[in-house]
Amino acid sequence: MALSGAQRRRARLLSDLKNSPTAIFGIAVIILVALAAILAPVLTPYDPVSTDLLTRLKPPVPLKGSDPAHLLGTDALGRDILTRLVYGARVSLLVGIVSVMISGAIGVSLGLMTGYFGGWFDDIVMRLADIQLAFPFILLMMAVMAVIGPGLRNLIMVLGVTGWVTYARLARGQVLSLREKEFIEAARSIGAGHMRIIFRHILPNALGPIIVIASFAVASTIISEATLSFLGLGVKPTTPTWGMMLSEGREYVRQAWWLTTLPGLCIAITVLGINLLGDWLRDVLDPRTLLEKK
Amino acid sequence: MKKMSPFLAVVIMLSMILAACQPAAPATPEPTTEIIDFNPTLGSVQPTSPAATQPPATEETAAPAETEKVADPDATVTVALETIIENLDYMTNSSLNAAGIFEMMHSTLVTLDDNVTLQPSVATNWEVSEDGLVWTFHLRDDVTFWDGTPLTAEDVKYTFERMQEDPYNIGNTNYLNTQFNFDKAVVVDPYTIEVYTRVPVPALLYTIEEINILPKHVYETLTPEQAAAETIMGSGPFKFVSFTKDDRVVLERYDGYWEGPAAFKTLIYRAIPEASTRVAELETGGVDVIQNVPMAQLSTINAMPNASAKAMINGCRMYLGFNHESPIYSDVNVRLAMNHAIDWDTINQAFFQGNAPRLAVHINKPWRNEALEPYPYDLAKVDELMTASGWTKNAAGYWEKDGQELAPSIMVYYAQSSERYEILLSLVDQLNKAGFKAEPYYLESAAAFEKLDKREVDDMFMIGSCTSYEGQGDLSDLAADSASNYGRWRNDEFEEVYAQLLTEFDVETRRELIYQLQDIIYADAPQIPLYVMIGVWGINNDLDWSPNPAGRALMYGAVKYK
Amino acid sequence: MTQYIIRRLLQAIIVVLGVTVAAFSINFLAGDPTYVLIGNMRGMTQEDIQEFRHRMGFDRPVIVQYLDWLGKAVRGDFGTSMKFKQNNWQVIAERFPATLQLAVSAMLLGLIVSIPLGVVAAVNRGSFWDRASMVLALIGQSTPSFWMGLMLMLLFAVTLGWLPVSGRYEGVRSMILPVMTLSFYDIARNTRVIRGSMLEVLGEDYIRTARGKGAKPRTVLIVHALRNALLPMVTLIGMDLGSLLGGAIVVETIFAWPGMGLLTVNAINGKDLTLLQACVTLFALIFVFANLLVDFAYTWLDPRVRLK
Repeated sequence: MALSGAQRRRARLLSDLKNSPTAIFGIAVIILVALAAILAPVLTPYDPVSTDLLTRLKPPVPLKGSDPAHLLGTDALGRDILTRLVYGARVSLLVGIVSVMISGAIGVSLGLMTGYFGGWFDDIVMRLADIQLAFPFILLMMAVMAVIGPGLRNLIMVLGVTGWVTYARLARGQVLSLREKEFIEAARSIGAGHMRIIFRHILPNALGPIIVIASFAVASTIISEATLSFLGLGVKPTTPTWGMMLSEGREYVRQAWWLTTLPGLCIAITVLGINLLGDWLRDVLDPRTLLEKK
Repeated sequence: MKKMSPFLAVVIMLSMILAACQPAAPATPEPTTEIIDFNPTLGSVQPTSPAATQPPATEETAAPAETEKVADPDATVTVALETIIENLDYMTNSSLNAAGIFEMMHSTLVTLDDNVTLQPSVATNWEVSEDGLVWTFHLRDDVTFWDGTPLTAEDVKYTFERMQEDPYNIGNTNYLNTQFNFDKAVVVDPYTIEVYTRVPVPALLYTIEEINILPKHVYETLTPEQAAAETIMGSGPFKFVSFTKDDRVVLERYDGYWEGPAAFKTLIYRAIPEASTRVAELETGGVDVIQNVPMAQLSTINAMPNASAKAMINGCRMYLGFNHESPIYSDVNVRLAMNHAIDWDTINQAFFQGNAPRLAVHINKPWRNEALEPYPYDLAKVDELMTASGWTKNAAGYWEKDGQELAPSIMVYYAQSSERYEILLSLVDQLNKAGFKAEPYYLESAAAFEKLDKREVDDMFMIGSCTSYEGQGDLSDLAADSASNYGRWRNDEFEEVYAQLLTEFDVETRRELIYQLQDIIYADAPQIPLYVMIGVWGINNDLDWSPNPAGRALMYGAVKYK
Repeated sequence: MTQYIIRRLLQAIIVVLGVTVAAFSINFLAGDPTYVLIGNMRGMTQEDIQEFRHRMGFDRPVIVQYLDWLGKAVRGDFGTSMKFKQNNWQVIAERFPATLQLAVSAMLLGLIVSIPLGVVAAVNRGSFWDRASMVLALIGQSTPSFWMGLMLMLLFAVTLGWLPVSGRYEGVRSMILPVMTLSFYDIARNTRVIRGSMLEVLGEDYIRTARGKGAKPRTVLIVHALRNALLPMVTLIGMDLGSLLGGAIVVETIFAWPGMGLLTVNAINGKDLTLLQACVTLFALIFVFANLLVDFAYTWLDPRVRLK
């Protein structure tokens, strides 16, 4: 059961994409959000941190009492919500994607290797994982952020480094169930090196659940960012992020629903996009679903 | 005084200890009420109540004025607080909420009324010796504990002595002891006690007011653990029924209470940390009173058909402090300029509906020098002051000198109060618009206070100070060697006058000195004084109750209607 | 097999030891523990502070302090809570059932909802049910639990008036909102994971073989597919326990539920260090135990893992 060549796969990827409207939608959402993030200063005339207490809590435009100058309304400090959303896309995406990439890279590599090699290496890594997991996430965060201090880079590093365990365990579990499979035996018997077996044969087969989890992790990281920022342990309070907007707005939920609904929608739509992309990637990256479709 | 709310606990504690560390404040001629005129309700100034030697005010069990409402003597009143007691021994509890709950179960020699004025309670009257060291209290003879045992001078003596013992001499009790300077107590007869202090303590009654009298016959046989976990006995209007940690305390009316039984049967204090949950409970009738309503939810409550909100100034003054050891902020022009950069009226309208006017100096009434006008919002004045000190605006619109931008970082500690958070962000933005590139940063409160105590704050900090109702305590935040002088402001003229204040006995001269000190502060602007914090309570319309200006949920006088 | 169990148990002990080191170091998180403890009794002189430090044993070498602490902890003595003035174990024993009640209910609810949803979605891939369950998963995954909790409270307790707002006084009625809030995230995640691994398993050779042999679709689904698809779930359940206990912090705060989460948060806020150490150690023990079970479950579900 050999894998298709790189070229064939690329071609298949593209043709597959054409046949998958949900994947196209997912990619479109991600591109749209990314564009909003990049073009934020062009899209809006306002400054995301500039307050105007005279125009606070204005509802979005079609509603009564709205201000045409603020299409999506203003928050409790009179800041333009549209502006904060597009600027927030920057930070939220950055935090979500980069930290998941960090933790995914660390976790998957460790998990694959421990699962494959086993032995003392497996023992040490898995015990470290157990120890870290045994601490409630919030407590761990409070400890680390208190030592290294708040800020965007530190937040990404902390979320990235502490998130590895999920991937490591999942990847290891996948390896354990895969490594005795015939095709691995086959690869081994034709003299493939360990690294080749791990990354060419096991990884693609183990990737399905990992991608699903990772796509969710982007979302949950965006949400963790909200919790931490609200505790003063995330980004600086003036940095706009969706999570921050969500937790800032919760006191106003009864009188100004848009403060939380709009960033909430942004998170949901972005997560939807990432998930749809993740689903599709899972399908195309998994050789077995390919076989199934043939 | 005391901790107004959990997140301010440490500040208050600090300022209180500070007051205690000072040389004994002067003995006023009459050891009656201090010159207190605390403004309890928003916008209205209440006259000072006269001396404490008056007969005890009889509790008016209010009959509602011509309504068809009927008081329900079997009612249950539920109060939702952020936190409740931690254990059953009041001496090892420190929070303001716990103080209020225990006050419902115990009696004190004297008490504070709704004007924060001292009134007789178990002690009907008292006198002080010539040298100010011996206080003689005359007690009522009709006060009984829940088990029917009369409360006597022996119990008072036992309570004062217990406070000094190691297991109990911590937290708030430790603070009270440092103020008390207790030497010994002598029982003259069952209803007369002499209390000796090591130094004259003119404000002693404010300490006594917080000391709940414990029954000797119960507590002398209890270990500290038993007193904390198993047994509680008091003489207050409500008997203890049950306690679940971080959940609720259930109390029941004590019919033998000397001031007369309460107008309802069961009193429950619930711990509900999340503000939105408290509001929802009030709306659904799950509770009758809620504490610390966020300003953001004020309109929600006022729109409820079954409840309304009442606000009360609580005496904690918010201010922005400077690191006076930094060359930048040791320049009075910079400090004044930043004071003028703040458009408080807009903030006040937006978040407090105009109820929290800006302070000129961080001193509570009645000691506040009302002749001083708050620094007006005046950007031209900012430019003038900054230019005078050699600062120029750079291309980005920020003040710059010797190639260095004026970019203060402002330290705040996390508190679950969005209003404070929003005010901070508004202030930061206003400073930015005036050319000060301010950036806030948040710390967890213990870390923040360690930084403050170690004087490690780089540029600025935002903090609330809750001192006693005495002007001297408020001023101590700026005395050079005081623990709560986080900014290390030192002004020789201030020190000189302050030293006089510490030894001055005459009330009128004290007032003059305090005014003089405020003039000095006003001219040198060592802080950016902001506002006096407001506590908002949500109250069910079927409950007749007003919040207490000391911030405690005292429910004895409440009446619940059917 | 016995050997395998012994090996796992030994590993668990190592983890517990590692956790105790970490739990003990809580003492030093906020800097000098002396300073943290005297935080609310300031006004002490330097001599007083030295004396206090000595009395608390903070002037001894750290390793001695650790061994002393560990020695007592092994005997079940985690010291006295600064706040509650009560033995820490006793405090925890009072509070633990409340959290266990939430966590177990949430986990069960999570499994009861997510397994059928995931299977139905996978089997009827691309159908309405597939999409509906994915939308549900999406909502659950992109909503912070504090927000979800407040919304559920507004809807079911305030607007509809069906359920109590908060507290733990009305039995099952009181549990519904906190359990829903707590399990929402897990339902969302698990539904997706089950759907994902179901799809994967359904493509496996042996399923096609079974189908080819003419086994009933239902038998194939349950006996062959589901059992294998649950493999990644087992890993997740072990980890869920951790996230449930952590999630309890938020949910218990919102619903004023007097359990371990609230206890831990208050211990952090109140700098009740010994209590915090006890809480963390307990969390860790539960976690380690749960993961042992997960590993054993693995071997039961997938005999191929049982290698040595």
